[in-house]
Amino acid sequence: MSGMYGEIALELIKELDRHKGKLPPFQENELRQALDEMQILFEQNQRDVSMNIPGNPEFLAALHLRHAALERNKQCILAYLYTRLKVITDLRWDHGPVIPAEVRANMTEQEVQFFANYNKTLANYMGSLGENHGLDLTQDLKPPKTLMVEIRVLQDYGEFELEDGTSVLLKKDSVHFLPMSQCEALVQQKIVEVVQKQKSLHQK
Amino acid sequence: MAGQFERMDTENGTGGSASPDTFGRSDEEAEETVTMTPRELLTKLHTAWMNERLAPDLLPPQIEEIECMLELLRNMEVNTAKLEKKDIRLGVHKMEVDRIRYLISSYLRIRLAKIQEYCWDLQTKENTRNSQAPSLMSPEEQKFLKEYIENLESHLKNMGTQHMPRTMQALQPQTMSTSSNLDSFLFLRVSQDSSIIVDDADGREEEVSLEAGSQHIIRYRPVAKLVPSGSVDLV
Repeated sequence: MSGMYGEIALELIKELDRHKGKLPPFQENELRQALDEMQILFEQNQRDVSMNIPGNPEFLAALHLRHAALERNKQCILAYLYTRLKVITDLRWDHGPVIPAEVRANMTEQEVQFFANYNKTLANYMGSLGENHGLDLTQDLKPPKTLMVEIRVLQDYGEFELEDGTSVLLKKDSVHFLPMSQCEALVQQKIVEVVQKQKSLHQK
Repeated sequence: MAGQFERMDTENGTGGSASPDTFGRSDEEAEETVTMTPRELLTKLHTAWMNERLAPDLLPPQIEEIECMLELLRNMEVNTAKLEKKDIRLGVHKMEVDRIRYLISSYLRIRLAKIQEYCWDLQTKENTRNSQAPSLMSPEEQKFLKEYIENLESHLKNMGTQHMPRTMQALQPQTMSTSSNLDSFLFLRVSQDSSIIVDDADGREEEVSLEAGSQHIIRYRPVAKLVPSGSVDLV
């Protein structure tokens, strides 16, 4: 370990800042080093306390400095963990209950577990709404402007049954005109995309 | 913060849903709500949604209204299912159902987002609440908060504090907790004459009367109590 106290913990925070709202790989090494540094500082303090002649100002200053470094490391580590969890809860709203593989690769086992628990908590809550009829809050994320929407299928999905009983075959690259409210989940899972109505450049 | 959940334009996209005309048809469905017509109910929810969206803190829940409206929605869906496919009314009804569902979902989402963001602060408030005072959260929301905090704290302990020196292992939520910024400025419209106490820049207190119908830009703190009572609406 080199450098000043708290430097590694600061790296963790900088890492968060560099990837605001994203989930970069978990900095397991840095976290471990910051924790190790805490252990070393703590042991040094313990040793000093046991050897200390009461009232020796030199010892006291060192003690205070190390204690400040300890507190700082703790705060940085918790901020690092907590901020990642906030990003992870947002995943549930942006991508649905299944974490995309590329994001999953950057998460630790415990974070995946946290996500699963959050999922359960949210599902319990949503299920309890409307006298236990349930209301899926992860749908209707945008104010409805139109009833129907044109969508293009991005990957083969197969039969998709609509609320009124009819079903459509979602084949890659096919285009359909479907009720907005029923294809939001498909959009979130990147199975279909909404065809943007672009005004022609020549149109006045 | 709510922005994480609310991917919506800032203009009131569902403004149309408050217009009573489109909803008028279902009056007969709601006779069990003796005191309120669906129209009034929708207007009330719309106001609640606007207030919740704009207020920095969590407002008292409108849980009865939400439940009532959800039931209405279920009835409407049953009714529209009876209509023939080509019936022109079908599209209009479906659109209206979608709009109301958006309103309710959005309202509840904003609340969840606030509950998550201010979880520790709300927990403290909940624990120190006078047993007679109403809770800021519905029973379901309280359960959500409890489970959320348990999940959060167990993660922070397992990954962080547990590996720290033994005197540092306590997880102190107050060091991480955030609370609402009550000093943010907002626009409001006054619906009932009221008066508030405002601190001016020199620290003097001044009583300001708010006339019904007038609009103000003001710090949230002095008017915070007036919002749940319905005397002022945030716009």
